[in-house]
Amino acid sequence: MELNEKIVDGFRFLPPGLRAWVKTFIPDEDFKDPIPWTPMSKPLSKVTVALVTSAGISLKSDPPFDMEREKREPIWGDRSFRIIPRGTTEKDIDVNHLHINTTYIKQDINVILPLARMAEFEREGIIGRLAPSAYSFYGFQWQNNDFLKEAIEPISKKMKLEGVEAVLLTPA
Amino acid sequence: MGIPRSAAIEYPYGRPVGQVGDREGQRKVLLMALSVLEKAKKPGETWHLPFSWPEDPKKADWQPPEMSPLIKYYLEDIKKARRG
Repeated sequence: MELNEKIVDGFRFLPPGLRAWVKTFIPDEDFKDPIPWTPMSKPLSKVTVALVTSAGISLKSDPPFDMEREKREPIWGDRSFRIIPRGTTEKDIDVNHLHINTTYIKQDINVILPLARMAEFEREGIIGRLAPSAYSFYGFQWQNNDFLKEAIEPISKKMKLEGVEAVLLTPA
Repeated sequence: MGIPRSAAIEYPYGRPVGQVGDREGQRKVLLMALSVLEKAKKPGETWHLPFSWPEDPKKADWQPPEMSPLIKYYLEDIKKARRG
């Protein structure tokens, strides 16, 4: 099987009502805003990779994401973030997300934050290095500049300190 | 702000890398997703991964046990959108 052999239907798993509603938010015209771009300067086998997910994963030793406020304010989402060290497994985590069934992530963290798989790739020389830290935030941020400042800025600073060169973001 | 490179996959929400305990399946998805880092040549490209989820969407059970606050809040709009 090859890339682009099939075209992904991004609405396949949405029930009809949600599908129709979500489509009302998608503009007809092509995306024109700036897109950040850093070309790959070396092969993947030399690159330090970090993982980021919007799945609402926190270590059991850290505070969980705030679901109670979202229940009171349905268009608000917790804009904090958590550091998830490499080596973390499903035994170490809590998952809080009101928009998905979190059961599967609690059974196997790799379904969305594939720390074990990426550590394998590091051992096998497929990637250069898996960064010491991965990150989780809570999705559901609507063009949110406070979120960029409070979460993405500190995350990117820590990534720089850890020599991260590529990031795989897995949305919930 | 746009996304530099996207690897699209037709998997249910909450499990973009694959099924619970399916190490081989997860590896295949990730290897192909990571290959997009080297294949994409300009900002905003989307590459489509060829994998298919083994369950019918209605059986994928990805939705939360309780309707999310957002969906509750917009339920009338959602019903209206469905009616077209």
